[in-house]
Amino acid sequence: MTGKMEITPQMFKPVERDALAAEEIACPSVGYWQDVWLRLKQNKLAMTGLVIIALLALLALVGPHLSAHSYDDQDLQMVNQPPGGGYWFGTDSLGRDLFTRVCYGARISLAIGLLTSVICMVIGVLYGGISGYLGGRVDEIMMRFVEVIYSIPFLLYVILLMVLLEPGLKSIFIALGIVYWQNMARVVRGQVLSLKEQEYIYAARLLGAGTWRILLRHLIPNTMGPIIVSMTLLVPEAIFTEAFLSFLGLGVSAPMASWGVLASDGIQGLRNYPWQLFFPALFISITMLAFNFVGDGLRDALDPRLRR
Amino acid sequence: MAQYLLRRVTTIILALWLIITVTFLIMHSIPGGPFASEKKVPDVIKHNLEERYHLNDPLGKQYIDYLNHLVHLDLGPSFKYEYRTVNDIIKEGFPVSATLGSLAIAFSLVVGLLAGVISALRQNHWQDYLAMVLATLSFSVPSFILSGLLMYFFAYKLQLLPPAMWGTWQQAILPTLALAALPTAFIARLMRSSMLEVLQQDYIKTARAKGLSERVIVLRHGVRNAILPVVTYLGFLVTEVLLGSFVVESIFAIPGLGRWFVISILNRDYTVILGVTVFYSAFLMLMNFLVDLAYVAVDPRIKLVDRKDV
Repeated sequence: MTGKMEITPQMFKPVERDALAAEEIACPSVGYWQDVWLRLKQNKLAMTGLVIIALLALLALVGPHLSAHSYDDQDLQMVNQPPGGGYWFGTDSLGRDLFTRVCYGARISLAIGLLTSVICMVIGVLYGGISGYLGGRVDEIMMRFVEVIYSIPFLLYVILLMVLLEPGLKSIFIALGIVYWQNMARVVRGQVLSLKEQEYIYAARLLGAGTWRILLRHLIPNTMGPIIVSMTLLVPEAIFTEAFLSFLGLGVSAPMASWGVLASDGIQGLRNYPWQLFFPALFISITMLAFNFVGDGLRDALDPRLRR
Repeated sequence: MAQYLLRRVTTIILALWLIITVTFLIMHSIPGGPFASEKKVPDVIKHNLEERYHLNDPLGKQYIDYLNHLVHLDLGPSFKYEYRTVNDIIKEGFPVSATLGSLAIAFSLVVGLLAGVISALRQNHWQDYLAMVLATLSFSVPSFILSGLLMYFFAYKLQLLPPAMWGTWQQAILPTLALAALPTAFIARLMRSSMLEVLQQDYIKTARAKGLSERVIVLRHGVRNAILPVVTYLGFLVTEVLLGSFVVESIFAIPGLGRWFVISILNRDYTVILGVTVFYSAFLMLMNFLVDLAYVAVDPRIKLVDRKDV
């Protein structure tokens, strides 16, 4: 008995338990988009792409004011000047300052890319959303229609449309919008199809929410991730297609000029005035790279399988 | 399988009909009609022209006539060249385009597959980086710009190759490269990722465990399985090459159908534009159909059933 120590309850003191402290979260809570942003920030290529896009946008905004020449000023004394002197990128066959025209072309090309992707987003989201949410017969017919359209080589029809429509920016938007919405519709439909079986949708329906409310407030916001990725990747594609149309003489009309128009003008004098091709080509390629990097980066950042 | 075939064939027929109807309608909604031009054409001549091309018939009759001609593979006359029909133009231009296109497709398959396999086997080595940097670059240059750059450096600067025209093998090199760049890059990326996935499969480990030589593992077990996604891409490949041919043939002055098409766009030669569009559409859809069939033949695991969730 002697070796045994008396243990009494008095020897113990309850630890003050701070109810609040236990509940405290060590890290600040991270929302979905913050999470995406954190992962995107890790991706060097994507961030480089974002910086380049920002610089291009800046150039499009202020670039034309940096130069002493307007984009449609012709100076027939200074035709086909090489870069240097008063003309940073040289001049074209009508003596117009190529730097100003490239900056101005940035406005038009970027606008074409961005607006086309917004137009396709709206059409595709509505079409795909309705098709996926209603399901059944409606879905079958709507998707069959997309399938039929999809099997048509659509760039050919853009060409036909452009031949038919008045050349200009508006026609380009119409033509590109008609081509590229189907992919978006498929993406959205796939997402909606899997999301609509989730509990929160049942809950919303139980609470008496109508079809439109569920579609617009619950389903579509939750498909934003893939939609944004598709939109980002659509921008370079639209710029590419516009350049292709410009080459066929179906681009924006003079004296306006997109990069595509500038490049296809540059092809004409390639042998003697190569800079007229090099500068617009450089800008198109950099833009393609930047948007593709950002799009790929976003896709990786949004993919839940890559979450750690 | 039979059900799938039926579905595909009906899709193609529906799409073809849609194309033909749309082209017909487009043709007839051209502001001012096909004979509108800057030069004022005397009314009598205009009337004679319309009589000659049956533009005075009621729209319904013209539509039936048009369909009837198409069924008999007659795409009509050119509006700009009096003695040529669209059929003549296709007969003359298509073989040239097909030659150039086949060269480009062969190039992109050989180089693309090779680059893809090598960069998968040497992942994160310089071979991989080099191939992927090249692929990314060719993704970001439109084909007409690439044609221009190739022509400038190889024909004008280095004077190694002829800048234009068609006939000798030297003249085929630059256009083939320009046309093949984008599909080659695509195939290389596709093959690389597919090969990387296949190399992680258990059956590759089994093959290694059996002590098979690396060559047999890569070729028979790896490539044969990894190549399947590339087969699905073949349809797009043909489309890509065909659209690219408009640009490349125009720049290198190759007398193919693509160049004719571009010229007729610039000339606003409506019957040629429409006829060639219908021809191209039918051709591409046929190609895609064949590719689908080939896919079943290549991969016995695929059972083509009614795909609900495409």
